[in-house]
Amino acid sequence: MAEKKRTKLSKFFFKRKSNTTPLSIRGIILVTFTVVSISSVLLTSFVLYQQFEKHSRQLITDSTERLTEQAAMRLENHLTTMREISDALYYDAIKDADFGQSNVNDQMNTLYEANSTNLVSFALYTKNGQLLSAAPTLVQKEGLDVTQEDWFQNALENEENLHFSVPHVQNLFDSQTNRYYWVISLSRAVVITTNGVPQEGVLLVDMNYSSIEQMFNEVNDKTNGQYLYLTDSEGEIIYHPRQMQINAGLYTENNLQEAFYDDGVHKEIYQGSSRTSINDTISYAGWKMISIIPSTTFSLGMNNYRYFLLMVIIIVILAIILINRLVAQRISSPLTDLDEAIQTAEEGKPLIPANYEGGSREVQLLGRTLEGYRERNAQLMHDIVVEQEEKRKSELDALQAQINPHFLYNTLDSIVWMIESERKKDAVFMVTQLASLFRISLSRGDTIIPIEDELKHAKNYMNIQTARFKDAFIVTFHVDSEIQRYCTVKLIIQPILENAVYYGVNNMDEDGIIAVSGWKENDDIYITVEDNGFGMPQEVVDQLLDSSNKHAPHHGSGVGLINVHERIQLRFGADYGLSITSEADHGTKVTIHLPAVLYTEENHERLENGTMDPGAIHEKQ
Amino acid sequence: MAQWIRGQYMKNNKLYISIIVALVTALLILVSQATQASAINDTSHQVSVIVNDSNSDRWIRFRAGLDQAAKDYNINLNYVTTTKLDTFSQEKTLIDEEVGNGTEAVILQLVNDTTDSQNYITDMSHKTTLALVEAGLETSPSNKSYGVTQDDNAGMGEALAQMVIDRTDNHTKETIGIVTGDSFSAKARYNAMVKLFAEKNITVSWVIPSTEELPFKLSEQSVSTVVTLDNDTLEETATLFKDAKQKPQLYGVGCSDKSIYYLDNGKIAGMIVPNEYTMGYLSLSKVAMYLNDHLYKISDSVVNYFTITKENLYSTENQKMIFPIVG
Repeated sequence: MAEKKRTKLSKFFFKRKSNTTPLSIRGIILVTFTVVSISSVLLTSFVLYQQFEKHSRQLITDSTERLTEQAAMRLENHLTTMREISDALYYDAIKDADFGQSNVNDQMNTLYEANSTNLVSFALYTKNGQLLSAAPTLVQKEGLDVTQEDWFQNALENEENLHFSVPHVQNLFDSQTNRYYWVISLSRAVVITTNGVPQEGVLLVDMNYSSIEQMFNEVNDKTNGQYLYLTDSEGEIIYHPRQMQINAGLYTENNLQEAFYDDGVHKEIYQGSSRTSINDTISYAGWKMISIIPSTTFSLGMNNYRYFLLMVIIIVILAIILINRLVAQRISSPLTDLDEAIQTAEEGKPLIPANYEGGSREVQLLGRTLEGYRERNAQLMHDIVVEQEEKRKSELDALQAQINPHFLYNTLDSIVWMIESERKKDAVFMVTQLASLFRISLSRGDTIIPIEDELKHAKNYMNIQTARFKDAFIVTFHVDSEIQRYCTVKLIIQPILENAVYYGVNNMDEDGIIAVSGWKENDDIYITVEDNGFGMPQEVVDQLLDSSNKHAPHHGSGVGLINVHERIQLRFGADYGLSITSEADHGTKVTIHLPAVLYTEENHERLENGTMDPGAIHEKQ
Repeated sequence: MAQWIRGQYMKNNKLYISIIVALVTALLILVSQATQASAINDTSHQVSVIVNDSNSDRWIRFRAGLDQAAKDYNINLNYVTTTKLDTFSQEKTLIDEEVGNGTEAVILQLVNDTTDSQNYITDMSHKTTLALVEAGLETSPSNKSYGVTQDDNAGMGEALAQMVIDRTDNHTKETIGIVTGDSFSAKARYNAMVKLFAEKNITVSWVIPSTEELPFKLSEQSVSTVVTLDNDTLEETATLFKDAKQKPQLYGVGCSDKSIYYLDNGKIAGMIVPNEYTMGYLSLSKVAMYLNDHLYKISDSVVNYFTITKENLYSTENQKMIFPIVG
């Protein structure tokens, strides 16, 4: 199963549809490295971001929790101070006073002046709602009945406790200045002595709401989206940073739910948004302090980090792509160079070590191995060519060894006859031609000679034959001088001329004509030997170049056209050689087809050694 | 051939790499611009507020609303100090100065509603963002490019009339004197009020534009009830009646602490208090939303009002709106 999967993966990455161009090794390395690197970077970034966000959330929650605790402590201290003021007023002044003979106005004013920042007023009422003392000195509003006020009733209902009201506008005194104060009333039941008779009364300390508001505003102004608010035990809002908006119906708060949460951290969904609330109870008053951290607070802090992270990721990806490109190039370039070297090696050139030396150990090994194979292959090829050539040479030598005595006998016989006939000039000419013929035949043992020499050899031969046959036929040479500097295999025209003499024009009643022509056409050279002799039927023509008949007995020189044909092909390839056309009683035309390879030292050397690729012959001109 | 294919590979390879690098670079530029845009969103906008007699305590609630909206939307608020503006040309000078100083938006209380002022406002609304408060919607063109936040003037007129009617035992004996004031909001209030009086067969004895001729009018033709239609005339009338022994019942539209004080100590029998806090908050918040997103359309708004008497002044609900908590 695993193997199957691996195969599929391998096919996915490395095997493309047959009709599409396969990826280069550099492309595969680049794509693979880049995908793996980018995936790793993204995965790592995602995990790190998650961890960072979690940590950041925890930090914000912790700091808000601490802030809530500190604010709760400050509020408790404030309320304790208010209670202590109330205690001081009650136990140090009211309890000792007899209101039938005096009042506590002085003590009240002194205490008020000392705490005027946090207080709006003191007021002491009898059980019937009659004002006994107040500070600062103010005129009570006409027709006021404080016994109907909540703070008054709460104080008398539960005499042991101090009672904190929710914030309200003080409605006791006529300030004469159009000013109204938001207060939180701290009321308690007190015992008032009038002419020695104790009676119940209510002491009211109206705390300045703006002190508490300011205390919380300072906290809320420092936060980043999170805020805290205060409710009483029933969820009635005492302080909220958006108090006026809530009053105007422009904002809503979940105070009626949150006031009943236990102390601690809570997650909730309110109006479709998630948020965190942190509750803390003000034990002294039973109030609830609630801090809210909206989800946007977390995201606000993370936005810059997100953008920063995104930019870093993009830069890293950019760097990865560029580095991977360099790495891919570094890895693939020796292979590419080796590949190019192999392409050129197909043309017979050796692999250059520099092409693979810069690569990895494997590439170097591969390069050396291929070079070894190439060298062995070239050696084998060379050996085969040499062997074939040797074989041909020995065969040719053997054939020539058979011909030469016969041809030499006839020629020498003609020379003797000329001398006896006192034709000394003709004899000298014959000897000269014979000497030149043999010189070119030998050609220092070379197989490849210039066409110029081959033509000279043919002319020498025909001069001897013309002399021998007493001008029984005419020989013409029309060869473009341009082709004379190109290469040819030696002794390829003479055998054709010999066949033309013996089987073409000899014994003709009329004058026989043998025409030799030569020209260059594109990258090819053509040399034709045409006679107007007896010609041959097509079946004879077909047999002439059939290799199965090459050992059949021959007349004349004994060197068959097949021999010439194969020697040309052995050197220049199967595209070259002889072609023969003949018609009975009209003559025969033999065409030699050669590649146009300039006779240079290099080309001569390579053709001689058989190391020139027939396909590359033209490219080397 | 092989070399040609290799050449093509190299070309393609370079092309792909160039495209990827270009894409990644473009992405980098986009993210960089997004970061800058995010920073720009955090910058505050400059908004000016021009109202008549800006330091009057009648604007306390309105300003509280403005301040809260400025805090919520990170607006740099410039509350222009003005004295009592008599003509629109004085107001126009202030607007031009603010626009010249580079304010991005102006919240404006028109001192009067004339063709000239309407034309100027229409022109100006194409140069800067405008939001009007206490402007007559009746005279605003339907295709205007500014928002108007104002009181429910007709509703307030009706409520005022209803309060008078509810406190009167015998409608036929009731005589009414009306001090309209010079605010153009008073017109809609007046129309709605007299319509209801007429339905109840209550006689409107006289109508005067300001309190200057009030003592004369009262001596000429006494009335059982005086109704004023804006805060200034209510304050002035209450001050006039403060020490009078025989005085008519006073009702009116008001929103200052002084008016409320007069109501609290019985100088005013009943008041209609517009929700100025909401007016301030809505007018600036809409401007802020437009400045943050120009696709946002500043719509018109009508804010509510409260019917207040001495008896319900300190009710839990009323005191929250009548006595703003301003630090």
